Amino acid sequence: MAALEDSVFFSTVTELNARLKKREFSCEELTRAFLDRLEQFGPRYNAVAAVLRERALRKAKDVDYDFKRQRHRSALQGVPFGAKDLLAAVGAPTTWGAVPYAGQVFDADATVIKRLDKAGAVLTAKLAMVELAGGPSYRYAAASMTGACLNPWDRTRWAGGSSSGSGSAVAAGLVGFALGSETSGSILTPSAFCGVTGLRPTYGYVSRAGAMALSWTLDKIGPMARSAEDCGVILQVIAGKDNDDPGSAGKSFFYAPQFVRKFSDLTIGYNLADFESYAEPAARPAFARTLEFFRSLGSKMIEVEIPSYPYGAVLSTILGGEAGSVFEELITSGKVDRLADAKQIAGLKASQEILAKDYLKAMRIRSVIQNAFRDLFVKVDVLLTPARNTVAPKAADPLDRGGYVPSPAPKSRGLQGLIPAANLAGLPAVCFPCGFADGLPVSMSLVGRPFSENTLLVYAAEFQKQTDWHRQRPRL
Amino acid sequence: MKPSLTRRQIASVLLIPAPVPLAAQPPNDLEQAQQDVAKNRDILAKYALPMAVEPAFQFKA
Repeated sequence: MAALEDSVFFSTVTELNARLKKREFSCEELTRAFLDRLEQFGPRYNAVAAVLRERALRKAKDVDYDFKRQRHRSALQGVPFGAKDLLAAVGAPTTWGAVPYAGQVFDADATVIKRLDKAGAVLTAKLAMVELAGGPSYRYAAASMTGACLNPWDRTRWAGGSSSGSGSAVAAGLVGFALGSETSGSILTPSAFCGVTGLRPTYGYVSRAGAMALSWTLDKIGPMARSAEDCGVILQVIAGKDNDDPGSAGKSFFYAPQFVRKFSDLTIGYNLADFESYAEPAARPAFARTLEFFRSLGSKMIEVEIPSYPYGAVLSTILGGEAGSVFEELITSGKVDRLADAKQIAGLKASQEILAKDYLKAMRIRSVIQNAFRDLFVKVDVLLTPARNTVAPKAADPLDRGGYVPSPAPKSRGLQGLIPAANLAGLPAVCFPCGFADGLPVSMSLVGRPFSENTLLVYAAEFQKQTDWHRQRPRL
Repeated sequence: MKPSLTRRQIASVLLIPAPVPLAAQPPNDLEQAQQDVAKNRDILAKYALPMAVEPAFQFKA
């Protein structure tokens, strides 16, 4: 078998599955090629926590046996993938990106891994992450036992967090797709910085059984892939009721773009200030072109503003309160001091001082926030806004130094703060690349009402049908 | 006159790094994190809510 051409590693999952079915290459050949690539390029980006060669090759042989007998299980059958290292998987340690858990081994796969395995996808790697998925906060990209995860578009830049390895590995073509998780921004941020398509599902859609808990009422697991269509296909496999997850919404997802209303029947909410003022100047042309594209679809476009609530304080109190309980033993035993990031250590220690009344107050304000978004989504079907205002920061720079500050200050709030706000409200979002600024990817996001993933994905897929930003790949 | 310090001793004095300006020193992280918790508490306390507003415990999006 000749070496696979480079384009194979940047194919969508549906393309890979189609070529496997046509026997252009076997699943074992494809898996071996991805494993070699993980071992060759993974260390260059600090993107990989563990390569699961033995497990992957065993699975690949099973898949080839299935293909030989025409047993077609899903559109993911035979596709190699990676999972953020907070998901339990048999065959390798599950470190949660943190030194105190370096030797941790689970004897069962997380529910999402089981579902993908049943669908015929091939787990090839555990992917690097920010320690404890970022905990309450962290200051440096190096807040991980694997070091700062680097961006394949520019190795002096950060890949984003906390699903850092998932973003970096997909962008570098080291896996066909990846699983990430988001408590507040951890799928959207690395997707945006690395130029991949990421989907944060509605809270409860995807089981978190077997995943590290950071905040029980905020954590979500979702796909990071090469296209919106890929995200839909993956979500169809991983979503669904799970009695092992108390937060499970008990709903299945079917990727059915054909049943979404016509664009002309839909309303998009946006705010010009996000595009013209809050975004850093170098990114504005790409964002402006994307806004024009969505205008051209014939949807009604109306300007809206994010409801005014103290999202940061509410989110920090809930996340801190829950993380402080999840990691109480780590904190009180003193093992917390073995974490890499001083700000993370301090934030976890300080979380022990969050009072019950503060947590309950934050959760009560959260109820009001959820209602405010219900009202907003009576007026609009989706919200359109840049996923991040800036390109990926330098990997060595402190992350709490603050980003781009518009001057003069815009009169409108725009949709600023939508990441914490939408996470508090449990809303789904899709993030997709829409251009470049200073040689680095910039991305747009669409946020919708709960369980509106099909609508979000159809909009993003339409954009990707008519542009090729999602097909761009970095020179490794 | 014979110098009272060896060249190595002089070098070690000259190589002492200059004091870092106060603004550039890393903050006391724990103190800062505790202040953040207190600041969030103050922000939340300003929000008066009717008794009927219950926490989002039955959280189903």
